[in-house]
Amino acid sequence: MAERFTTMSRPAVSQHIGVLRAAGLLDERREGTRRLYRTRTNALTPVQAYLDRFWPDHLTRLKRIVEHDLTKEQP
Amino acid sequence: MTEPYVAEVFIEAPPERVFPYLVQTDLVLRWMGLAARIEPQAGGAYRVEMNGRDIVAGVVVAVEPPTRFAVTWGWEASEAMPPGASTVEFVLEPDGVGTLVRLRHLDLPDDQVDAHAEGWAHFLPRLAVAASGGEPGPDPWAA
Repeated sequence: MAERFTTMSRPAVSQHIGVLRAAGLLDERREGTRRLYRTRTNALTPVQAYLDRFWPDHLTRLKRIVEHDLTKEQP
Repeated sequence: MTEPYVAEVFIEAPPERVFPYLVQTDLVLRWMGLAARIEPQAGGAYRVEMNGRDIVAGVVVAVEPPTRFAVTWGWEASEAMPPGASTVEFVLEPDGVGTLVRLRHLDLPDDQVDAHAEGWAHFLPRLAVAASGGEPGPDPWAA
């Protein structure tokens, strides 16, 4: 990917890739030692966007409740 | 169908401690919903009232303590995702002294679903804030 952007250093390209990956905009595939990236052309559907708020929130609550109950039991 | 939605959380408790919180009604209500009916065997009912209007409904698909729990999942009064339309799977993996809870939400409807289709219009505006979870207490998504 760095070859396409002749004025961008490899570390800068890696940083951009990191940002895009964190935003969920890149799919990654490994081929031997190479990592190949493809942009996701479809953004989150309304359902996925909803679940992306619903599940992390509720899994965090699950975690807090389980751990809270466990510590309450300890002498 | 779109790709499965995946999410994970690490809990500092062994899987045997975590699993009941997925299948036992009184424990589920500590972190999700206002009222629920869960019959933890294959084919059993799975129904969670999030608030006055948003009611999750489906059936239990698999109960494999302390490793796996799966249900079908949809919303009553929704055309986009009616009761039992999708599948939610929890897999509990031991991880050191704790548990990695891996959730997959499968068989989601595809892009063509209009966000304003019946059943969705009243969900999305209500979810203006992605709550952080906060302290143990009532589900902040309950009306």
